[in-house]
Amino acid sequence: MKIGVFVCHCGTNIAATVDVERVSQEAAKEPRVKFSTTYRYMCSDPGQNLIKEAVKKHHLDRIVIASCSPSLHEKTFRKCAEKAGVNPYLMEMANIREHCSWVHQDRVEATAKAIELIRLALAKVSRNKPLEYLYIPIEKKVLIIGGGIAGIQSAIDIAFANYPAVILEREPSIGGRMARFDKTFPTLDCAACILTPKMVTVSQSKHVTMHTYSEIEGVKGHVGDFTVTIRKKARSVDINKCTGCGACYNKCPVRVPSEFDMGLGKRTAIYIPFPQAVPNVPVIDRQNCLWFTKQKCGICKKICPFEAIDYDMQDEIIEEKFGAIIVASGFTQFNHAVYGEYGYGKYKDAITGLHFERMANSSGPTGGKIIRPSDGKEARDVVFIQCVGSRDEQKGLSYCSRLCCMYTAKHALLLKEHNKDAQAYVFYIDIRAAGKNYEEFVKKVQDEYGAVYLRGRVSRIFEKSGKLIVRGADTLSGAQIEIKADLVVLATGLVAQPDAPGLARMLHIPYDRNNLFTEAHPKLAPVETITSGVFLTGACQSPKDIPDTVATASAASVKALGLMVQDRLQREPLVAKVDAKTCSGCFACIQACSFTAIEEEEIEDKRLKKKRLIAKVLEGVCTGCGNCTAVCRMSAIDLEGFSNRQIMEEIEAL
Amino acid sequence: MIDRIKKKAEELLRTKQVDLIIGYKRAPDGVSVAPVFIDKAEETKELIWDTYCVYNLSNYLKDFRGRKIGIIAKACDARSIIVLLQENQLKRKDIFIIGVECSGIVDEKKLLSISPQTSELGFDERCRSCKPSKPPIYDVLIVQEGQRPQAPRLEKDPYGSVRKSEAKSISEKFKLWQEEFSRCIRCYACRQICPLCYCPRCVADQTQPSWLSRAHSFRGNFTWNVTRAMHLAGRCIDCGECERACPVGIPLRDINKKIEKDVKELFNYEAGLSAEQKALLSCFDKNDPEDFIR
Repeated sequence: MKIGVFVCHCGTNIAATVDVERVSQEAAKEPRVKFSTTYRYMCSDPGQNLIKEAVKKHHLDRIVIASCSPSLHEKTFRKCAEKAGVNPYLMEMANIREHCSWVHQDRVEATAKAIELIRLALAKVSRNKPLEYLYIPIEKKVLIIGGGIAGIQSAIDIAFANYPAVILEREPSIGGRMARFDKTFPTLDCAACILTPKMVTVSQSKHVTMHTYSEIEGVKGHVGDFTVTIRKKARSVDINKCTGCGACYNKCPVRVPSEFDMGLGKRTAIYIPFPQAVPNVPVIDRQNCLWFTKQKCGICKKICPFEAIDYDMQDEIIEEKFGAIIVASGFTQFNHAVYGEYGYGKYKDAITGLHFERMANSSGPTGGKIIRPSDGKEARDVVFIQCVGSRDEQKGLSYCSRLCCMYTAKHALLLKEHNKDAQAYVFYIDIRAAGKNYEEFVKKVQDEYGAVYLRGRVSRIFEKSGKLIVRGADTLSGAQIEIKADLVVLATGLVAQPDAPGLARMLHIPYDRNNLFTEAHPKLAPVETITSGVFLTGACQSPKDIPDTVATASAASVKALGLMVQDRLQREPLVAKVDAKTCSGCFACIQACSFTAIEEEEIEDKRLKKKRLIAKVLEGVCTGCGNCTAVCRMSAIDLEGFSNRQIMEEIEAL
Repeated sequence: MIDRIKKKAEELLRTKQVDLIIGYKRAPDGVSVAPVFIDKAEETKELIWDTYCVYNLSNYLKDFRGRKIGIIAKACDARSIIVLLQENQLKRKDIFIIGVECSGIVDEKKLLSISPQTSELGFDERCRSCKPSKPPIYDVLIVQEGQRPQAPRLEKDPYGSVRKSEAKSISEKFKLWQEEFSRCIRCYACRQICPLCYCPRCVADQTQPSWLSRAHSFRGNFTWNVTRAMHLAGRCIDCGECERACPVGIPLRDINKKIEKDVKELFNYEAGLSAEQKALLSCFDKNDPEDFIR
């Protein structure tokens, strides 16, 4: 065994605190070490060449690199070892930066610790075995969870590259939140005008399959080979027979509040959520349909010229395979019931921004009129309250929801456009308009549309002679303000979907304390997750406006396509391995495995001359987390690259 | 009671429902008992059942894997059968459990010092924290008839002795166990007698890596005994066989009982009550306590 030790200065990152020359000299004295040296940047090209040359010259067969965390440069040095003719898994890194120089000040002690860390790495590498890469096939299909603008954009991008994409949407139509918006800031394009062409593109694409009114039930497998269970909820309308003629919902006698219109309008029991729905196929709301509640009516079935209505339709469970998954599950509104002082729920004329969107929409429930829901009269004085939930650690969210400043400015503008006599008052904490042409937009609303911006919080809202009296403070002038408002619009923050943690657990992706999905790296891997093959886009990750959502959607698509274009996927061979002779078949490992990577296998036990069951690791599924090795009493299951022998050797060397 | 056990055993063998009956017979000394393995119906008359039937026979089940076995099981024995089922070491269809209602068994060691004046039989300590009862799993249950035999006085707090030793200081406890373990001769009787020590290759016998020193030293002895105790965490059903088998009298039950108490208090889990229950230490529950994470 001939080990080479390469100590990196990392500029002054390591060298300032650790005496790298001494470290190298000490390392050279260790048994089996044939060569030891230092270099300014071992990861640089000259640094790597130095390693390659040393391997050649000194016939090194194992390498220890003392530098930074393996999470940064392990790949670099594995490749480097491979190019030098050494099996990449006969290379070990000693982290003398994050674990040493960055966290210590005392040069003498830090140097001693660095030497110790190298001794551990030497002990480990002496027990390393050469390992070969694993290759797994890739299912050339991408699942997109969520059919809002994020999911739609992802599907378009995947389809453009001629790979199949499947959109999973739990609502009856794709479109998501954006379909409910009126105009979009700062350019004021009509949301439907820019969204519906994309929805149509999706529906017309031969590469995109849509499972609307469907929910995800389970995910198994791993990158390249996910098996996803999908519940296609019973629509009660045959999607293949229905032509979208609308005869059914035109005749349906039931009227219930429309979810799409935030309860401001009514819909029928058999309905499409909005006129441009994709697919343009109605769904029966079984909770309210007379046929399902009272076994009466049945008009839609009678009237449908295409016999598309099927009251007996059952939920259908399907299983599909995917190579990659894009999570575009979106957001929901902050529940502002905690703000009793804002009177929501108590006063009909205190509404949220999304209600306002529906009212401002010319095809919305009010035909584009901004009215008071209490009496239907047109609203003149409207108070907008920003940061409802956002930036309030006491009652709401610790974070800024990012878009409320902008959508409130847009609402103030739309108000004036819809009613020349109207006056907008905006209570704000700060105005955050950091986006292309955003600041200019807010300025325009203030200067040209006369919106009055008041910096301060609202303390109370109460009703008096048909008006809502809004009391607040203008902290800039120090004055107490009281406004007689016709309408109050609350700019509620954006929060994760309530079932986000469940979805995250299914996908094995982490989420933060706000239930927002966590990216692999906040800066350098913003759309990846730590589970390879699962990518993030849109507001399920953090509040995002439409431009950011679309950008991350395309980013996630590129990441997924990066997998699709490969013939097979190279995986690290750092997986668990079962020793058949030692395994008792207690299957504690199966229970402990979060990735269903362990199966039962029947073997012929030569010693007992009997068939018996033991554990078997599915190499393609195993992530090398090591859970199984921890629960195995007989240590029959061991992790390649982190074997018991390697770790024991490290401990002994300590 | 014994007549019904014999009758059932005879019937099982005669009708070929089982290939073998594992039970108890009188030992040559005329007092104590010995395990017996019977494969002929006529030999079932050898079977006995009384308070001297201390052994947990489930330990033998794994030696007959693949055959149909009838076994006589007390409540504690049945609990170890449950753990074995839970850990896929046995197939339920392969075993026929003749459950026997038990009123406690004697402590072999106390037997030597017993006198007619003793108000209570020399019951085993563990029976004081076990309500004499039916096994939690059985195919046929043989209940006691007529006048119930004398049962051991139950401890109010089954973990009273654990609490007492918990109250000691760490150095006191360490000293105590240092003394106890120094006697260990590494004969592994505890392992051999334990129905749940079934690993094909025990960690104590592994050499690559060598997990523990095999030398007769405090370090090796300590590691061995603690490792075995940890491997029984959430599994030990307190049949007490290890302590009974220990030739140097190490109070092994004290360690197991302490872990049993911790497991009960932390996870509200008791081993060997249902074969459907998931093994405690290999599964995760989001309601598991995590106050130790800081």
